[in-house]
Amino acid sequence: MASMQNVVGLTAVLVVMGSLPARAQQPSANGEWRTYGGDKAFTRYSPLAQINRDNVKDLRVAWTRPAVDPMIKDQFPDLSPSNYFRGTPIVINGVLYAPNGVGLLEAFDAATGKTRWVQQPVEPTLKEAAGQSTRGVAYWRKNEQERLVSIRGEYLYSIDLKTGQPDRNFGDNGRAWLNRRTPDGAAYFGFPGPFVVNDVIVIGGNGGGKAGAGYGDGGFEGKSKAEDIRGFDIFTGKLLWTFHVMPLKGEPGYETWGKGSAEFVGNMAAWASMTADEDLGSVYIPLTAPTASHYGGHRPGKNLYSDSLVCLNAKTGKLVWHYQLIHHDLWEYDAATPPVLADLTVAGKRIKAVIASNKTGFLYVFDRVSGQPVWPIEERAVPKSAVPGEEAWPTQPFPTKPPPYDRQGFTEADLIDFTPELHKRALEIVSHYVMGPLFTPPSLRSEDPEGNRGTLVLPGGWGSGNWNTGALDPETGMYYAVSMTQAGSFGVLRNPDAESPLLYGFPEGGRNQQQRQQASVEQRPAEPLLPGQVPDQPRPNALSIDGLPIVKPPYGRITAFDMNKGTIVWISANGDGPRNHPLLKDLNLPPLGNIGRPAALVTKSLLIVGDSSDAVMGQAGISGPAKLRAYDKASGKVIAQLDLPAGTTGGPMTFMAGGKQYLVVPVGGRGYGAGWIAFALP
Amino acid sequence: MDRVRASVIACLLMGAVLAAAESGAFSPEQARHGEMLFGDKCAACHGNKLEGGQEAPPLKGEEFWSEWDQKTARAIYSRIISTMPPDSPGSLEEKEVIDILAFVLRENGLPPGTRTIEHAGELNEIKLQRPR
Repeated sequence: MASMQNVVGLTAVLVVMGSLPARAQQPSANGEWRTYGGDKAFTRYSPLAQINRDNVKDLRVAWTRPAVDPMIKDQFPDLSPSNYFRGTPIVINGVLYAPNGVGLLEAFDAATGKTRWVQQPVEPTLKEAAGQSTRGVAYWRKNEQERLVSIRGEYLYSIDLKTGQPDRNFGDNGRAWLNRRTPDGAAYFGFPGPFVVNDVIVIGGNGGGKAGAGYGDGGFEGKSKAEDIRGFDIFTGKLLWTFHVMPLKGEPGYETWGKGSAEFVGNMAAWASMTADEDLGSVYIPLTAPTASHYGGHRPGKNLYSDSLVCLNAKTGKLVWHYQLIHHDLWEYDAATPPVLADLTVAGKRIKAVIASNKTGFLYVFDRVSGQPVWPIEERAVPKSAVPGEEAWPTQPFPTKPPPYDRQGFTEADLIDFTPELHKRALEIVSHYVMGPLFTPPSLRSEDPEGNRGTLVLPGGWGSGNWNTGALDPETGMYYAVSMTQAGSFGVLRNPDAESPLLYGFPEGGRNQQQRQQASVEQRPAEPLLPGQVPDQPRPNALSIDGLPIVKPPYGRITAFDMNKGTIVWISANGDGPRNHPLLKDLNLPPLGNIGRPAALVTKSLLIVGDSSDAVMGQAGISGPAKLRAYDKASGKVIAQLDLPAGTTGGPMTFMAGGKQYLVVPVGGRGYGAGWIAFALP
Repeated sequence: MDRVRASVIACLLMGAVLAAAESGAFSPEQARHGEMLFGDKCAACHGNKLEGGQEAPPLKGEEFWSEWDQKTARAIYSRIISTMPPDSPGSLEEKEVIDILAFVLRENGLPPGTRTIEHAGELNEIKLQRPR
């Protein structure tokens, strides 16, 4: 309980607002919401104030809309979108635009939710209609011309706002093909959608290979294609430039890949949204881990530009500056968070800043013009690896300010101690693992069931931070980090393919069935069964006791930072968490926080954060129905909780229509399906 | 008279449907072929044992039945064929999806029988019931 007391204490003590005003880029004007992150600085901020701390409790459902328009559903009766419905709408001139549950764009009336148009698949077949939602659509405007730009499957589309028809002058009859030539013929896919900077469409996205479920994270495949960043012409869809996330021979950074690995390692995608300062002409790109992110014996070195924040000139694709946040990644600590732009005043000096983050829970703050850290970032020694062939990089970057927004490193002090019995059971579980500070490398998994099962890590592979984490109030310089506390374990096994340059691998997430079965099913030591557990039942998280996480709460939290000072102002648990779990319900615990990846919306007086959906992660941490919570953004106190039919799957957004402020969020979950839900005052 | 006949037929059909779901609506060969396909196309995200992963829910046990109990097998078929795999939706053929579904049902306690499902339309008749 010590950690929860600390949280409550921090909430009470640290409520001090930054005294110096700060402004990032201008938020969307006229009550619009022109990018799915609110603006190109990705503040997720709106200055609207009709819904405020006094009346937010009175919000009512104004309209709902299914994830796929009935018109399309009637056309293709088998079309059944995933519950993981990512699309946050944008609003232009009273119309909402968003990718639907299968990635086709839909336009609908802002005040009623009624359909204006729906993008048609290129062929009237189920195969063409099949798809996944993306996080959002991009909007471009110049003089009287305007376009919507979206990614669906392997293609980049340019769409007319008024009709939903493709711009036939763009690409090949309205779309441009995005596939890369990969060793295994992997298709391009990109859930963040495109990002438009002036007249250039900048593309990140995955599709470097099929290893690790297409992300290159796990398994025993060491080879894939680098997921380069590309710039396309807004008018023609032609490729303008390519930035090599894996430097080519002769380019700076090539030397950071030993054993010739620059020739066969790939991935490193940008799979969170980029941000841009259009006045500077710069685009800020968060990059992720290289292929097989839990073993790097085949790729000795720092491995540029993996896990880096990269600033490019959006017109030319030339590198302006970069900063590698993780060297030689062994933990899949991707930069998975949009790098938020903020104009700060630090020690009396005005700074055009960019606030980057990754799965570690650190905030890395830079002058976005020069790339210099605003507060020093120190290279500190970290533990060595004992896995054969692995050369863990001896140091990692540690920001000196601000403090991290979630727990880092794993020790016995992190284990639950709600009761002595629970603590004892947690101790028994962790006795089979290696523990250590942040950046303790993965360890060799033993074939002996009583031997080592891997390294316990906190944050785990999902990270504490993710695509959902950041939101910024440009008026005050407050940054809100939404994070989760979830442990993971990284144990590597010998690669059954003796010819592979990858000597060891992390079997979870591998694509090669034969390798996975040889390595993990047959040799993987049996995990201890939980009381009442049937042997062949799945167990999503072995680091739990009857579904209760073995690490202390809060499991989902919001941390508010004064970014002018680099200090924490308040921390709040987001939701009740498992306080009503059968093992805890008699203990009268405070809110423990719901685990998941909900995104925040900041308004004039409020911070809106929902519960995360059960579409992917299961029911972990959620007691009762999902909620959309309104916090007092200054204090972190919950002002109102609105019932949702399912958890949130994308970010909430807000806009004005007909003199009324609306709040819209995509939701989805088991037993409900997926759709958008709009709230407004009566 | 027609209404009575229709009701009788509906009752008989319902009985057949429930029986099919519990005693074998698919063949062992279908489930075995589906298992192989699952390993190639699905297990990287959903896990070898359908236990779920970072970006994919478990497909077994409570997580499965809380979504699909009392729905038709066609509903799962529709979800798979219109969204999976997430990096290439639309790439699976009708027969592949049927066999993958047979494997998933087998793993959730529905035993195979002698019937082979040839077309997706047949899945409309199969109402899923959580084994007791």
